[in-house]
Amino acid sequence: MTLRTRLFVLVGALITMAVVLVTLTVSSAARRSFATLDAERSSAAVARFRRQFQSEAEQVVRRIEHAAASERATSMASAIGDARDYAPFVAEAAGLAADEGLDFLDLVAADGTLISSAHFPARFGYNHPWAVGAATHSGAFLQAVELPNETALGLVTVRRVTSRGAALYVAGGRWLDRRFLGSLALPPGMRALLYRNTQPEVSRQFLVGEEIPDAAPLEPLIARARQSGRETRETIEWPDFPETFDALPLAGRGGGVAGVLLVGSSGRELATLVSRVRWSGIGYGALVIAIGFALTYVVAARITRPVEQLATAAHRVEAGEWDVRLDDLHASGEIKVLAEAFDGMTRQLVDHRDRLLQAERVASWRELARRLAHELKNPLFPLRVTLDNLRRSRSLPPQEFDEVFDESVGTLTTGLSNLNTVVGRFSDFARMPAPELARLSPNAVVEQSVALFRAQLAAPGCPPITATVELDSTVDAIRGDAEQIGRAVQNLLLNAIDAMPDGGTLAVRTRRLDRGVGIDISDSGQGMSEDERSRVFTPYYTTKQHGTGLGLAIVQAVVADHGGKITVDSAPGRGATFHIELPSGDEASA
Amino acid sequence: MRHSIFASLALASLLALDAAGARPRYGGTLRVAVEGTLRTLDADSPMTAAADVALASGALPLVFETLVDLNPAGGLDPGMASSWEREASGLWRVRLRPGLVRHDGTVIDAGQVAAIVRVKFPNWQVSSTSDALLINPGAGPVDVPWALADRAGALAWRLASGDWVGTGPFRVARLEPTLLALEAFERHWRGRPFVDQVQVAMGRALSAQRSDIEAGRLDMASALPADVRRLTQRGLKVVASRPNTLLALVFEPHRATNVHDVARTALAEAFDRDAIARTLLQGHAEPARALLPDWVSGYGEMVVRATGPAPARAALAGLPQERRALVLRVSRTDLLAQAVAQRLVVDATEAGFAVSLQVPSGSLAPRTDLTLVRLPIRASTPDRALAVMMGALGARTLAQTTRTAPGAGASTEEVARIERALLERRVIVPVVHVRELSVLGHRVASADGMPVSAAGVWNLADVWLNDATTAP
Repeated sequence: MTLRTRLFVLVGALITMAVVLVTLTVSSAARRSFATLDAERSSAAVARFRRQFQSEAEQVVRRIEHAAASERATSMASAIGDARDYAPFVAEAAGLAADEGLDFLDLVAADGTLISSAHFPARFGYNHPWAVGAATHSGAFLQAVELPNETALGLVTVRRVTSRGAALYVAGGRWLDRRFLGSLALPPGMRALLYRNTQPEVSRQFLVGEEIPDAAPLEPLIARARQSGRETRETIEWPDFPETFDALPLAGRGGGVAGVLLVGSSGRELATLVSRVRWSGIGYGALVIAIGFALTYVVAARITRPVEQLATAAHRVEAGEWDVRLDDLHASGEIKVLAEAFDGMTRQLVDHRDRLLQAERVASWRELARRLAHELKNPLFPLRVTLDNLRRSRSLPPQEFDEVFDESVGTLTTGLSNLNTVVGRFSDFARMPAPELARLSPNAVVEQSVALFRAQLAAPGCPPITATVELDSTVDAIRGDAEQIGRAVQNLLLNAIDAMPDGGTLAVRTRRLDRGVGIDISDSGQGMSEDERSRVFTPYYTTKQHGTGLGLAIVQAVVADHGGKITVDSAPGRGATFHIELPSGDEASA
Repeated sequence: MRHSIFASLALASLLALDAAGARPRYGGTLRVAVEGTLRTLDADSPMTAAADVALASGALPLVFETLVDLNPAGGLDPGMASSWEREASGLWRVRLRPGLVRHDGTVIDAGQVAAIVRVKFPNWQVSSTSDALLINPGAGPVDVPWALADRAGALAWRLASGDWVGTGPFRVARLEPTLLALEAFERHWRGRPFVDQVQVAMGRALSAQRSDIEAGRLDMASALPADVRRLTQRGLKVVASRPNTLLALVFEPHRATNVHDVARTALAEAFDRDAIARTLLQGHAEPARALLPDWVSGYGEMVVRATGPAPARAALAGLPQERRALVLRVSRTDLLAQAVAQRLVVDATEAGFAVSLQVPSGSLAPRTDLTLVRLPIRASTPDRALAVMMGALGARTLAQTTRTAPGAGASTEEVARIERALLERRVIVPVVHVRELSVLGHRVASADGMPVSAAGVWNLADVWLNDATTAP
């Protein structure tokens, strides 16, 4: 990961964390505010319900008292007292309820018989379950009232009408229904539901109010409020939003829970606000992050560009280009100091390299001179001795002189021939011809080279050397100079044989490379030290008594002329392996 | 003859009304509204809706008369026939009034009447003289005058034009989907009716009729028992017929099997029929202990007994819930039947049934278990009344009881036996026999005070309007 990327990630992470932190803080504050507001709204709604309930109760009492005092009711009581026949009055309740604006009304005889019912006309003649007993209750109270198909919850009161000794009970009131809940005029986001506690089991079908697709989550809350008789609060998680419900038990005439008022405060607004804060955070965060990235890019570029230039320069130095200079690098502070140090370092490196090259060149010339001196000294010494013998032999008789002369001429000829050979070798190395490239099979070249040495290896007196050849059949043909490559292989084979004066194993193998061929030649000889291994390709360097030190240099030159490379693995006592890697023809030609 | 009858009737009316401080008047249009509709004047056209049957029974006698009339006391009066007698040979001689005229102006003779009677009573041998019919009813206990008094024997002629004509005091001026217009027939044998026209608005809801007659926009309308008290308190006159409709529960075939015997019996005995008749229907109905009311059959309560909810509850205690759960269907347009059905539900619930009321709004409705039906009682004799009722019940119901209808002239014992067979499995459960109620507007007056007879027939020929302009 680059420095610029790291800077990107770091700055982006910091910005993101900051935005998330702000968003969470705002959301949390909004939640707290809403919770407070929600509690206040619920309390206000409950208070409004109590006021509305009280107002409704007073209205019911007034209307029932008015109905009981009406001519219709008193004349009916009188008529009942006279005739004890309820049949003519079976439809009276409906008219009386309509006159008084009551939702329901029962006219009940003193014996509890229902004479007429406005809301359940077919119920006449049966015993009224609560009217007579409730007549002593002066105010209005909650009561479950039976209807043809259900049991409703009503705010009722009962008044007794007497005339001519006969009594009539007027029992009626108004429903606690949707109309009543609607009259609460709750603010947006709030709603009121009423549970009619008319059955032993809690069932959502007894809920009055706004239609709720699945009110099952409310049942436990209702059950708790019903059982405890105390106000209970719970937050219901609907699929779309949370809603906090306050369950307010409503007492009936006997003190039992006749109903449960549920005041719901929707968390939809809170959820919307939190969502808005969240999305705003995400939006603004994205914007800030984008801007931050842009700034980071600019800043990081300014910061990292000198570093990248330094890195590039270092890579060039690593590649051997030591004279790199950071003159165009614009930086300040530590980077500038670093760049100046880098420039100083490369200057010293170049200086050291030049001096080293000069030293090496001097060393090479010294070595060359030493080698030339050594190579020339050996043939020259017998020449000088021969010439001295020849000078001294002038005093000898002619016959003896002639013998000495002939012998000296032979010796001189041989010595001069040796000198000529030495000079020729150096001349050959100096005049290495350019390779003539053609399609060739590396396996064939190796096989032919090895074949030249098979006879030598098998000759008597030759140390017992076992030669193994392993040729990779998948090796492709390459473009190269078969003669030069063959000579290089032969040089390596000769070196290997020379390295095993007491016998050993010579292994030759070829192998397919991605784009070329590898030739490995190993011996099990005495191996080389680290110093020897580092100098093995240096011209005129040899460890042999009679070597010129040019064999491996020529091999390296051939390989280099073909665009390949040669390396050696070796350690003292563990033999040596030379690895030649030659590119395929296209690369070689290129 | 006709003028002397008219003169004597008019004189009698004048004397009676003078005492009451009102005088008959000619002219004007009597405005009537009914729930039912009449699509054709063909008396043989089948009718299923109770309101349609009530309209036909009330209005058509104004157009198509019978030879013999039923009087309010349940006896027979001369109609188109002035007299009848049975001769020693068993032959009935029915003498026609002279000068009978059809609405198309044709003076009819005994031969034309005999031709119609032969069609109406195909088992009889009918011949005619110049002024009488000679009727041989054949074997069997057939009482010819009672048969001739039945509405099935009303005389109607179909002209080549397709129009129907009769001899009644009114002739049909127009028959439209919502209006039946009748005109006074000047040449009726009893003389011209007082009113010029009778306009019957058909298919009007009862609530609309009630508000219209209270507002004076109608002269005669139908009424529900629950409205009687209110209407009479407003000074309107309500006239009740004899009980001429039976409200009965009819179980569907899947509930008519033996498995459901206990439930059916318990339900039949659970209802407080007295409370329904006396309180809910304000005495304008009678508890039904049999299919036929007492005034028709004469044998009164003979089949059904009522024990109330408590014994029924005990009987139901061992039954599984699904046998106690019932769906009761009632017509959406029949408000009286709906009120009765609601009371039946209350009684049944008290007895331990779980009854839900189904008031279908269309022709398609979920399967029901039993239905509260209205069955008309429109015949002069028990055998005919039961036969008509069985026809209304339909073959599907009769397949669960008995298909044997009483023959013409069947004895009371035979009728009772068949009725017992119909009721013994409690597949058909009579509830109440209901009277037909008509409310008369303030300007309607009549000599005998009965614009609607006990049989539910409209006696509008003797009705006049107090604000009519023409004095007699």
